[in-house]
Amino acid sequence: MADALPLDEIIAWILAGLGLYFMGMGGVRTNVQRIPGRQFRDFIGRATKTPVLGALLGFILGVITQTSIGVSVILAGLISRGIATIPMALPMVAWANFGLVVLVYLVHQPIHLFGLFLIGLSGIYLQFFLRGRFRGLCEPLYSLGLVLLGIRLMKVYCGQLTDSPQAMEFFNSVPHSDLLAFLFGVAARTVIQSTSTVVVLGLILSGSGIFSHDQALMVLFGTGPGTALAALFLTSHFKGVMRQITVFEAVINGGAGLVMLALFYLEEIGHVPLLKYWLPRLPGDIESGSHVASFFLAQQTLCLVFTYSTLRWMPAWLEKISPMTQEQDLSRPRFISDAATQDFETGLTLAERELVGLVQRMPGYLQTIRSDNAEKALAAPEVLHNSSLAILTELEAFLSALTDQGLQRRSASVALLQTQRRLSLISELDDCIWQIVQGFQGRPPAGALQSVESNIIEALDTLLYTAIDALNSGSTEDIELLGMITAAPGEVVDRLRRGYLQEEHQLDHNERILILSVLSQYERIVWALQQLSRSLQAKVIATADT
Amino acid sequence: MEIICVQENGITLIALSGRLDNVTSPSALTELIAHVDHPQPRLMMDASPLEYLSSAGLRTLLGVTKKVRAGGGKIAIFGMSDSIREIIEISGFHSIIPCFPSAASAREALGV
Repeated sequence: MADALPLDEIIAWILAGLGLYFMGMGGVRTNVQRIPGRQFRDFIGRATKTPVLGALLGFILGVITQTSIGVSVILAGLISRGIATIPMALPMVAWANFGLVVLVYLVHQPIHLFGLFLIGLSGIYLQFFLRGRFRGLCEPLYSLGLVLLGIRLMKVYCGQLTDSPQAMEFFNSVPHSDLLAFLFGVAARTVIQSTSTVVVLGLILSGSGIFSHDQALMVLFGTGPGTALAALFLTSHFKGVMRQITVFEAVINGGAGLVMLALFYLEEIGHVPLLKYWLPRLPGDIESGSHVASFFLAQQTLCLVFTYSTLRWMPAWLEKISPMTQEQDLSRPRFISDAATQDFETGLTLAERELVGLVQRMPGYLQTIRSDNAEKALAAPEVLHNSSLAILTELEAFLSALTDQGLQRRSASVALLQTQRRLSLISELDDCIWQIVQGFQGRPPAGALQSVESNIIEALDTLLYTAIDALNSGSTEDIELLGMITAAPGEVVDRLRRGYLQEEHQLDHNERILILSVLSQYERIVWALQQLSRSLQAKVIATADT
Repeated sequence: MEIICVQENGITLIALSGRLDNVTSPSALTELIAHVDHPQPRLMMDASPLEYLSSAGLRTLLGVTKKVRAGGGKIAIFGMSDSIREIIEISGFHSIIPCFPSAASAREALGV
């Protein structure tokens, strides 16, 4: 019989296995997160509308990523865009949770050979075919191989711990308490942030004889409340939809774990055959670990039961405890939707209405920095800017989808190009106004700076309302008016620039920089509005021609 | 906000005093429009007593200008303070509403 390995070497191997496992999991998640382009996200969005497809996709994503956080983030984004709703998203998150059971079942299967092949083949491919077409596939496969190898190392060397007299002396000195094992499960899940990792560790320690089957079960049950604690405390900074999803995960996982714990003690105290009774009676070899894994399956199934049984009131309750944030609400497009890309004319009309809506928000930026604060601001400038950026991104993608419709008529192609041009101008407008607001924000108005600020705000507000009139009415008169007032900004702005920089204004260096910057942004705004009026004129002419 | 209107040789001379802002603009617009609600109006606005002009005030002036133009008339504004002239110039409204330094030059522009 070979001598037992020294304890430090065994610990080193176990730590190496754990490290490989963590790095592999991280790699799988990172690579999967890279996949979600718009099409992938839209596919998920469509899937949420079909319960069976949504459940299947949630399960598959859970199996691949071994976490529900990726699905939660994608779904929160889709809900913010109005593509999915909380009632549609919750079952998908629950099924992503359920997908975690697959890895747990694989722990005691001879899959390490498969893992070694994955590491070898994908590693060689990545070395020699850096820009090959399968690179995107090989990177997550390589990471998956690391996960499997990590599990193998942990399993083999945890088994060796039982041959080490020092290790066994240590384990024997630790009280063998089921409740302690449960608390270990709670703490480990909260810290490690991966349910399957903790369950895998519990199974490996159980398979090595360090944990009893009962203790392995308790570690497993502890992951439920551990998930809840992690969701509630470590993501307490989340707001709105994302918070709703994490609270939901906390409720179903915490609830399922506590029910399993209650059943365990009910059996202990009341001698009712509930859980442990069935452990040796399940088919297969008890030492294989699949029996304990079956209890994880039961716990995750309980999560699904909780999900579907609370679906009627859960969304309303979640909305009550963490209402959608103003930014999430403002980031939701009001007019465009995936369905609207099917009809070119309708799609284009809705995109134009969305654009008008964005310009209509812009005076709101100025309200936030008005010294008289005459009108109540719609939202903080950061909120307005971030939500406008979100809608602009949506609009860009929406117009690209319209391009994919196949533009048969020249007039349709021109109309689309014009809308894309207006989108670009409005994006420029938003950016410039944001820069001006940022410049003035938090500065006590005084002297020449106050004069510039007040005049720029009032002038800008007027220009924006004139643009809104032109966009809303589409009348030649309003469009011409916009064109006239934005025709020659250079001369006026130059004069102002020279005037404000004269010595009598007694500005310090930073104030001069601010004035120059604000006037430059203002010039860009006037230019963009001039281009917008030209674009609207072209639209009027094109409409008249058709 | 006070609006004083005088008819003078076929010209409507309106003196604007006080603050033309988002509080006073709605009523001011109604009153000003009433004074030019006839064919070919000729309107001179004396802005020398005007203390403050906000964006809402600028839109009021724009509304009046549109009305005058629609009636085939003419409009001129004079006597603005430096600050009010600056707002009108930055916003580009001087290209729509002819601005003059004095009543005489405004009267001349209206062809009186």
